[in-house]
Amino acid sequence: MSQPNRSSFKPPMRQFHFLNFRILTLTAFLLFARSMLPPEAEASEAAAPSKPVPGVSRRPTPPIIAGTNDWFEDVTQKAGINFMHQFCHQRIANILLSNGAGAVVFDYDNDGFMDIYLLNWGPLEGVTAAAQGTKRQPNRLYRNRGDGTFEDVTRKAGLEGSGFASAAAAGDFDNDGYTDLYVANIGRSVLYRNRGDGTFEDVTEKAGVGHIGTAISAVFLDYDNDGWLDLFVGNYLTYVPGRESEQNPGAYPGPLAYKGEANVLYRNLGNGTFKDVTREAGLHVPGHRAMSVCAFDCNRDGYTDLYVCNDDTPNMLWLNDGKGHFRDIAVDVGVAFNSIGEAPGSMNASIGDVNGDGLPDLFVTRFGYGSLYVRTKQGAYDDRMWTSGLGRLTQKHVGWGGAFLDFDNDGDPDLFIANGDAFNLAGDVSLLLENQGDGKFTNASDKGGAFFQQRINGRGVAVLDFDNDGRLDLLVTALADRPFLLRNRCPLKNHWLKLQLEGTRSNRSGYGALITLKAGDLTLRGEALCPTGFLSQGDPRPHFGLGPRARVDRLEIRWPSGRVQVLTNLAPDQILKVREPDL
Amino acid sequence: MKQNLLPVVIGASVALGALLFSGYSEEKSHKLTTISPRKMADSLHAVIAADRQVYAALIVQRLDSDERRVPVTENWREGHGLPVPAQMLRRAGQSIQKGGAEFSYALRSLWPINENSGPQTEVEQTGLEYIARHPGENYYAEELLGGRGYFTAIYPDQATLSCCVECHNRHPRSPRRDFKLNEVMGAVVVRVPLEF
Repeated sequence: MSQPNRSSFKPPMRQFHFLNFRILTLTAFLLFARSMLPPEAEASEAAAPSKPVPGVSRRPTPPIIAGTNDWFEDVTQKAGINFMHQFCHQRIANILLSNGAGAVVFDYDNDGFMDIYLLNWGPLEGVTAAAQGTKRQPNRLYRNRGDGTFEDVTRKAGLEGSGFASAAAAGDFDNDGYTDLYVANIGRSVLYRNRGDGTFEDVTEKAGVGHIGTAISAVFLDYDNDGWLDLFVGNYLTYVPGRESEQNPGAYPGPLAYKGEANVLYRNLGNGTFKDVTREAGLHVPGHRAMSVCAFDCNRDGYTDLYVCNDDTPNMLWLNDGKGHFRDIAVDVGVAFNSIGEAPGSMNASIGDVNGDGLPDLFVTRFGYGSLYVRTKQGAYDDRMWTSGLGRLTQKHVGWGGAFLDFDNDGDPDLFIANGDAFNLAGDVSLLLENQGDGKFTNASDKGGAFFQQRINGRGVAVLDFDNDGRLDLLVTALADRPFLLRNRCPLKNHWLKLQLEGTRSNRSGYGALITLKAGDLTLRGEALCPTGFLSQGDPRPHFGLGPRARVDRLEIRWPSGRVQVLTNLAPDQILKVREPDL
Repeated sequence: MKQNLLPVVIGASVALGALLFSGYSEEKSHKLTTISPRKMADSLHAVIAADRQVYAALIVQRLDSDERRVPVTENWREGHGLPVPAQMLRRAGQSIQKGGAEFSYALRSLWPINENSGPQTEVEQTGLEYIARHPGENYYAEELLGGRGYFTAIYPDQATLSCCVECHNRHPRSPRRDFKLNEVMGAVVVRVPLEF
């Protein structure tokens, strides 16, 4: 167990005579007990949240040198990304400090290369233990130069941010062709409008999305298919400083010790403002503590649904009826609990078709047994965590960010999982898991290389193709550490196709478009997602690995507006720009 | 002087001793301050098993065999009937989880009608095989799932009623159809997380 069980050191409760004598006895006992504690537990007490300590500067993980044959290379330093997550404590002293901060991948300047925005924390009263006067380090926007390097343009862009940032989502909410940004903060969340000149403006108040709470996740979606991106914000819990675990005094208590905060759905009114429609949409369900949200069309009916991962209560699958209402069907279809009937802390869900049947499946990471929910033709899900091999492969690890990616472009989604301990900063190795094509997975971490031997406090994961070479790269954020940009060097010469969608009648970002691709004997079905994961959002361009097939016979795009666009006889290995037809 | 003080010293010592004794005696030395995971699992199982037995005997068996007023079927919604005992157990377990719970339980079998009720972890597989080989015994183990430590207790689920045996033996999806009364058909698995 990660935490020493100190319940046996609890002094006996007595209320009568010789108080002083007992205090002396108790003091002697506690001194003895303390001397018996392991060093880590002793340090933990000394660094209690009520006793501020100077801002702790942990050293970032040094560059990880990849071997010649490693499929992934840590290029963070080489790329010029020098961000460090500001963790103002000596340890994970409470539940808010366990979660971390994420990143979002988006092309803010429309130059065709994905840029990176990294979120940061800083001091927060009652949560961190920073010395007085400790300054918050900014969030950082790194512009992709297109040559494998990035430049820090944070100040110019006006994206330093404020407060205690958790996550962000990117989407073009005003359909002006420039991707905007919503930052989910503990405190006040912020909507930044992209002016199109390399700068952003805070339009939170005008837009009416300045929710104050413990926002931990957000996603853009067009739930009513009116062509304007709406916004769903996942909120966590109302933190109360000073609480201790009843069963393990000195350890921090779990999520159920705090009141949950309700999530919010904002409807985009198309004039730069939003309206809170949570209640009328049927989404106001207090009593849960969201960890992440993803938007996808689970039944491919053309209306985007929502899957919310909760901490220690069942997850929710909100089915969109297309008339402005959602209904939670998670219990009925089998995606609320894990396969052992439990609702442990869920971190995120990743969407992908693991067995090639054209139906969207979900992989859920948890502190506890994860889930691989495989959709059936009847619309229910089977949890194949055990039979897929994932149960055994992930058994030892607490998975945080988990994402499907076809890292070898063979046409099936593989998995990357960022692991880390929930209670201490010792770190853990990440996992690269290869799909055998039938939804069964094997460990490919050895192929992945040196990075997968390194213990990190992994949290957010974003899949991206930052060098546009058709091989999917990874960005991993870590608690109290630098991020890890991992360049994919997979030597297999498989083909691929990537789409850059532009909606016209549909939302400009193209979120919600349903795609069917045929290449010889291969049929792939996907969706243009606002690809959120735990604290993070990845590259929004739909990507298809084609294996050895050197031509795409047919590509069908069903836009959210209802229009169906068909392209035929396409060359592979390209980023294909597709604009929704006007007619 | 010494003679005068002696009774005082003795009296004070006696009084001190008495007070000390009285102070400590008020705190029962055998008072339990914690509950072991095994004790917790055993207690939970006792409740689950009793409810399950009562439901099966007083509701399922009676309505299914005596009067047949309400069908007992896995398609209880469509058939306007009662859920079978396994569904009842699962629903109750889910209901507990909805508000957040620091334990969980599930029904498992080496011969499940519903595929999802087969073993889902290595410990479940081992435990189910163990209780099948050792009738009347429970199986206890610690396991790590998704980095979280659990105390896992596996209790044999015996066919105590003829309706249970008949249903499993005639079900088209049942992988085994030779169950006999009082035979172990599966297990109730109770898990207590060892971390929050």
